[in-house]
Amino acid sequence: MTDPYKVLGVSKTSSIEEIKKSYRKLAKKYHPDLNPGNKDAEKSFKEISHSFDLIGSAENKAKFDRGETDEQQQKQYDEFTKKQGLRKGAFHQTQRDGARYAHSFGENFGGSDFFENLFGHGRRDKKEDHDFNFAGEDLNYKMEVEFRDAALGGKQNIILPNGKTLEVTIPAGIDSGKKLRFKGLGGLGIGSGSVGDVYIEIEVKPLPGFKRSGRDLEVEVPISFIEAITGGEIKVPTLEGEILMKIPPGVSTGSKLRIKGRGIGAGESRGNEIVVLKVVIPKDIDPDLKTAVENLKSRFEYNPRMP
Amino acid sequence: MKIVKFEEACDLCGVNKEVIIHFIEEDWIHPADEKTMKMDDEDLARICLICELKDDFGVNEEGMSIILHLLDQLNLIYSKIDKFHQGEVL
Repeated sequence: MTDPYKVLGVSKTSSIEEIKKSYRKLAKKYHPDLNPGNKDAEKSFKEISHSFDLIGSAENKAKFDRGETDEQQQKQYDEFTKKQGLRKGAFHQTQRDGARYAHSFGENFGGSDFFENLFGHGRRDKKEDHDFNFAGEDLNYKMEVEFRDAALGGKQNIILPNGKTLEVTIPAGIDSGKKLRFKGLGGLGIGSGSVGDVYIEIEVKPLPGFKRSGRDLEVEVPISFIEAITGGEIKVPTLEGEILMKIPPGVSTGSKLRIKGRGIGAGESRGNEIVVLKVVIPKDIDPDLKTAVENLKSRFEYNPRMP
Repeated sequence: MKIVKFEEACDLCGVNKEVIIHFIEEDWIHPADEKTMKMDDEDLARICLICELKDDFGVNEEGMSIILHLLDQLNLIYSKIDKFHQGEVL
């Protein structure tokens, strides 16, 4: 159970004013609206607020010191947490992509006359300081990406020359030569010029045995002449590991079999894997096998070069 | 996004209508629909934040304007940072 005195850093003999002062100091430090995106601050703030509710007024402090039941305290805490959505710390949660206040009233960053209006005198106009304004340079990098990550999507870190690490989300299906743009991470502008962008050109590493053909993936799989004639089940490689696949009887070298949804990309737009069969005759032919085939020659001889 | 009438906003935030009118006059909140004074989740959360800054943290009127302005800029920067890691395929 929470010890509100410990959380607020006060003693049982502290006055209400002292408790309020301590609460205000802690609340300012951990308030989630003043620490957007900081989950630890949010968690600490909830504990601080709950503790203040328990001992922040003379009446509540007296009740707590007399020892309320666990059930009543839990009920109070449950009601408190329900109200959290509308009371403390809710504002920053509304300020995501497209939020009115951030995008309408925060947009004057660096160029606002807000302070001019507030204090009755203007900030120095930046135009007076510079005769020219240039946008910052764009920075270009190349990044090698594993075949599987390029095919199915992934994440990779890249360290920029300025020492910053950028976590790059690799979109599924991206191919060599494509570029990813990261706005505002390039060179600083001159005057009121905007910051440049970072461009990362993707280079996909080849993966032996796999060949990309648009959104499809081609894999060549050897089979025996017996399998070609009788059909059967064979293991074929995919990006997610080996799977068993049935081959019909009567296939030849070059026959193509499709495995749906095992190609390049993600979700419904993911392509297929095309297994291209290759009939392979044994390197060292067993004399018994040779004899058996010669015996079948008179019955089953055929000319594949005839239409 | 929930949209509520002015009176309902007063109830939800636990404040009198004069308080919200004062916040609007001070340019601290801008109702989602300024004609009908209907408010959305952003407005409600912002009203509650202002009450908290005034009542719990003792922020005065001048300080309120500065704090809200800085918070708007901070939230804008955070939303832009979120987009950086996505990248844009060209």
